[in-house]
Amino acid sequence: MSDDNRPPVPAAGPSLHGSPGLARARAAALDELRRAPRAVPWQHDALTAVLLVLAATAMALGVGAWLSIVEVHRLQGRWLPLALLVAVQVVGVVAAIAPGRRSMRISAAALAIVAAVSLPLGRGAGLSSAMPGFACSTSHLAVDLVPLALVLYFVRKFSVTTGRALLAGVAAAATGAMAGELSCGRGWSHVVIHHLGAGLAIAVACALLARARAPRTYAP
Amino acid sequence: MFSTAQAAHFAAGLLPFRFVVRYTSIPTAEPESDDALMARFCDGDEDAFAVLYDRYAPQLEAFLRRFVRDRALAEDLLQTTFLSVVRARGRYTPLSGLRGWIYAIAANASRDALRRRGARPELSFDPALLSDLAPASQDADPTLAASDPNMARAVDQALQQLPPDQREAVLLHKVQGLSFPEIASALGTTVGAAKVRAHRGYQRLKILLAAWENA
Repeated sequence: MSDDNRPPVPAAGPSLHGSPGLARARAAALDELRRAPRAVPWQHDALTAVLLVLAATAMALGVGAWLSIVEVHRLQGRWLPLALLVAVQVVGVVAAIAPGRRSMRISAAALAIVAAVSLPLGRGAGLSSAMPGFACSTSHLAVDLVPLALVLYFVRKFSVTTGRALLAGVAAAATGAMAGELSCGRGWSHVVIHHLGAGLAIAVACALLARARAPRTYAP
Repeated sequence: MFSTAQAAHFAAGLLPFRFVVRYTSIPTAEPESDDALMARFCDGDEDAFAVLYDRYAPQLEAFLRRFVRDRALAEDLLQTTFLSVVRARGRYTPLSGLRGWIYAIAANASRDALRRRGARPELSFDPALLSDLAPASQDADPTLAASDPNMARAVDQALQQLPPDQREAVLLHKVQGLSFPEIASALGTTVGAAKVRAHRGYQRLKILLAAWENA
């Protein structure tokens, strides 16, 4: 049945007559409802965000492999931290977007810590390199920009808390961490300073940017 | 001649459910629940939204006026709140309860507006805003406060001296009549933490009003 055939929505009830503000808010909300009559469930946003972030990661690694920066043969020795990083992306994005679910956010934070610890633990003394350490930090930050923009787009759809924004930032930073695992063979101290440091910077930047401007809605 | 109820009953057997619900007003003993209305609203039903709006908007406007103490800003925030309700209704989960969810949106919008203004609510006295603030003081005599503008002013000024989180909890609990689970949902915290905030707010109000009474 077409919505055009429907009778007009009744005007504000007797209790609302006193306030023009109430009538104005009602009219604005009804206009908005007519523009988008179907609700978009949060699961739809979460799934879209996960798929886009994973696609951005795959694209970043693909371009890196094409430029011979990412060395695919490293996959064999580093599958465990890489698997943890993929899990951090999926769980981190969903936990950042899902309404409520405090336990999921705690689990996502714990998973991120485990993944972060696994990165230097798998390195040992590592190889020496003529490249300065900050080259890795800069690459890490550059690779994270697209996933960061994606997660920011989704978390700004609601009133994001600092904790949720940090989780979203960590999920975005996992892209750079994966690229780092597949392109850098240096030791654990380098990983802690230049890889995890860059990841932390991305997470903090996400938290600051998410709250810098008014969100699109104030829903929790 | 059929009565409206008989006509509705007759139509219910022949017409699709949604048509009957929309075009007939079958009198029911119980008003439709928030979650049932929310389900229809999520499908784009304007009538369901109108019922929810009439159910919550007046009390929400009163809360916003008390919280931000600026009539124009409160009206803007009411509009922002309901635009958020419409745009983000896909984020509503029945577990949180609709009233707590809507108040959470209003509280988030208010906090953000005040933060961007870089100021706490002003302390200017507006008697029109104080008509039902009296119950905020647990020990005060509401009839005295209602009839005594000085008492109402004292309660209002004491409320303004509370930290924002305690003021929110006190307003939501005592003035708006929300339960602690609803307050926890509105403030994005646990039930225990909401109780602690309200308790601390009441303790502080008590001290402030005692000082006023002795003065």
